[in-house]
Amino acid sequence: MSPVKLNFWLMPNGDFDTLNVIEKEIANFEKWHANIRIEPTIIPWSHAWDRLMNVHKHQSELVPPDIIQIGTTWVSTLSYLGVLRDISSFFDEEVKADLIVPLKEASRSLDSDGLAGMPWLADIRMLYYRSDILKSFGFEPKDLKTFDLFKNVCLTIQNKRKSIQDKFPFRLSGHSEVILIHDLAPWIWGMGGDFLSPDLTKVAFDGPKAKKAIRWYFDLVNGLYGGQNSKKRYGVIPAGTFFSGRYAMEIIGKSPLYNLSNLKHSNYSRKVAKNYGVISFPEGPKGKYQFIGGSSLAVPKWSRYPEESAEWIRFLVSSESQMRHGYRIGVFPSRTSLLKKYFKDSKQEYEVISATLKNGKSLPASPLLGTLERIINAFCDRVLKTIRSGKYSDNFLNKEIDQAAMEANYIFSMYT
Amino acid sequence: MVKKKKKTDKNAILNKLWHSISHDKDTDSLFSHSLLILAQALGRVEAAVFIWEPKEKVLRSQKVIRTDILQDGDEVIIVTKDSPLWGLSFGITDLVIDKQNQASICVALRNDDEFLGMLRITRLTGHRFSNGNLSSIRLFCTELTIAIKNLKIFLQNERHVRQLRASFEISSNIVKSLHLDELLKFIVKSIVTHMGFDRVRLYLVDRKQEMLKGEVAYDLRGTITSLEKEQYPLKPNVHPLVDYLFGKGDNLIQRSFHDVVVFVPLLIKDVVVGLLVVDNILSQQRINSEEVQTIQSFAGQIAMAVENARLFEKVEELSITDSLTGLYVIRHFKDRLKTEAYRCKRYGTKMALFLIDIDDFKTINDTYGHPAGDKVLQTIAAKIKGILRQTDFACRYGGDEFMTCLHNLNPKDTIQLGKRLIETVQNTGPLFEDSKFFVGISIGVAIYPENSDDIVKLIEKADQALYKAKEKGKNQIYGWWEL
Repeated sequence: MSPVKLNFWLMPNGDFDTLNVIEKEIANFEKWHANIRIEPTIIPWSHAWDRLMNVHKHQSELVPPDIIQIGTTWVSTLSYLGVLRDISSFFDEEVKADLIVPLKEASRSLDSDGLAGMPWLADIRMLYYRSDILKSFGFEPKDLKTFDLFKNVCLTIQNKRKSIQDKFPFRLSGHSEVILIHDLAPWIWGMGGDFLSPDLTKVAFDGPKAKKAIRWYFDLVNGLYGGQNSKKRYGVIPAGTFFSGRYAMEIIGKSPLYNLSNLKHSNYSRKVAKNYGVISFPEGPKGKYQFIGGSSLAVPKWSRYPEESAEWIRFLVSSESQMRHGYRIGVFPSRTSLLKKYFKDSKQEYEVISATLKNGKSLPASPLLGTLERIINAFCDRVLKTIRSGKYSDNFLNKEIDQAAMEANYIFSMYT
Repeated sequence: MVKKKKKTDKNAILNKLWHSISHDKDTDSLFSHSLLILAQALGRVEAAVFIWEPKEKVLRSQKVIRTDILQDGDEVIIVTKDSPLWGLSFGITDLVIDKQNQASICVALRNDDEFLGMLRITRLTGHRFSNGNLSSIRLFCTELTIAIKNLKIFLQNERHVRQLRASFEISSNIVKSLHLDELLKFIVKSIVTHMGFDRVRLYLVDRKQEMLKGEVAYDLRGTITSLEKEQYPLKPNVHPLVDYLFGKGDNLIQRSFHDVVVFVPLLIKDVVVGLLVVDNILSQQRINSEEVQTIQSFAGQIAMAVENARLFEKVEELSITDSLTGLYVIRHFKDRLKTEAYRCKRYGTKMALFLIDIDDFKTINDTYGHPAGDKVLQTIAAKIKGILRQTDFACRYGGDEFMTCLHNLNPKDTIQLGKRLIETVQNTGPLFEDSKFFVGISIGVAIYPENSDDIVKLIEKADQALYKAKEKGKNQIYGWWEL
């Protein structure tokens, strides 16, 4: 009997190396599963949603995917739209109990309350710093403990910069330095605000606490990227330059030390290992919260081979594959028990990540989460562009928050 | 000799390209195959196909190959006047060589005067492209441009066929039923099924009550939802949906979602009869102008079908109810009685049949005239309706006779209920002005299946009981089992 061919859609988790990395996992899997062949297709995040929707609505692919990698913030909407199977029964209770809690919550099906996605790669956001750079400006890691202390460190370093060659205090996330809902969330939560009302029927990010947090955060961004400061930088700070000491701090969801591109430059890694540290997040007036997200593996309802697809997912979330894959692309495993092993060479990072998990939060499970994310991301994009153009003001920000809230409430009113 | 070999190679590449891409029916396969052939021919390169989006003046990468690894592109290049790609986009040049990295070139994909996009090729070895390479790449780009153009036409045709098929299917479904509830479900279901929207909602205007009333919604999951709780007065500034009907719905917020939510009023001769709301809010997929046109094209048909169904329901209602009393006519009553008898048999339940006669009705007609008689009939009918539960029903049986079917009553309760009805009628007082005439009723009862499991015989037995009630002095109730 010829083997079953599974079409596996995944994202560029390690850029062009994604295929090489996943092919190693495929080879390991196929060694023990002669009856299953995995055929990977790499689809950028920006295209994946649309292609998935086209398969669901118009059966647009000749061979539809049997397994898909999806962002945890997509799970609610996709399960509501009837794209995903409940895959709980395919996994041992032991594995399910071991999943990082916010990731597991975010992967729940809105239909059945079971798992609509199996958490695979964890995005656990923490604040990484270069102690050598902080020291050169007279700061220590303890100076990052609270929101206000952190702001003070950022603005002091920024104000001491005279030219584009000087080190930057902080880098925004993503390749092109953007602000997304994940970046905004911990600041809002830390000031007692939230994105949605407790019953998830309307937005709450225009409430006084959330508004205060948003203003606080964008004032900080304006201090770093706005007006005169924009002259002290070229467009964006290149992503990997934490290692070359281009900037002092960044908040990211994967360890810079284990990042694939940096492992290739082991000289940097060794130097940085001595000079870098991590704290979970500065503490806000109402507590310390971090965003936890990532991506899950799911079996769409149209999958031709659900049993075999689940077998492949079981392999990818097994201890061995999670560790191998995690190291190769620099992401965290999705199972709590593996984190200690993952950080065997970095006790401090393990302690910080353990503390982070206690305060970690995911975004609320609502079918409208995807749309809310789009509205918030577009809002952040408009504000950041205005900051970069030097035209940012309090009045402008208030208008933008109200506009985004009106847009989101309009959408929520149509679905509740 | 070397030259000849190169020429052969060039032709071979182009042949291979044609052979490979002439069967591609989607852009993904076309770009993948083209880039694979290019990479095989040029060795270690990174190459990407970009498509031009003239409105935004951006080049968006579609597919990228590095050596032999293919990936979807996610790079967006904003083309400004000071960008070297400006000349490429606006027909000034067809080739741009990167000044800093001479191993990187951009070649226009241009069909006549139309700029479709570009191909960017970077040699990973760092070697510059020879003139021979450049001429081969130019030819390659010409072929690729033709293929893109052909594919565009093919896809456009395919889209039109899909829209036509959807229109046909939806139009067929619109005339599938004359029952309003069923028709509305057909409409929303077929729009979602054939056009792939997240959800379609249908609202109808109730002119009598001056309301916009929610009817039914259908979504991609296949769920039909009743929207009966959504009822909005037809006044401006009460609800955005109503505002839309008043032509005030096009506000800033709605405009920002115009590509995922579409409102289509249902009109007959410029009179709004309803509103169709189509959305892709959850899937965030843009509803394009062709799709909007398709929905608009059958909005008139939907409006017409809705009006027809409403008229049909009105006619049907008229044909089954007595115009004077509003109770069923005997024919429809008997039909329902048969159905109820079947249900009683299946579930082991029973029903009581009341045959009601107005005492001395002939005297009323003869003394006070027919309008007074009609008034009495209407009053008694209203009293009978007052004792009916949701599952019970009644009819006007003859001139001054009525019949009711009451579910799950034992003989004792039946007699009690009948007595209460007699009392209610008796306590009503004079039924028309300037009269001291008090009306009474007599009732005969038979119970199914205890007294008979045959409908005709059951009515006969109720009639026998009624006769007994009349005989014993009127204004009373008798059960057949008491005879």
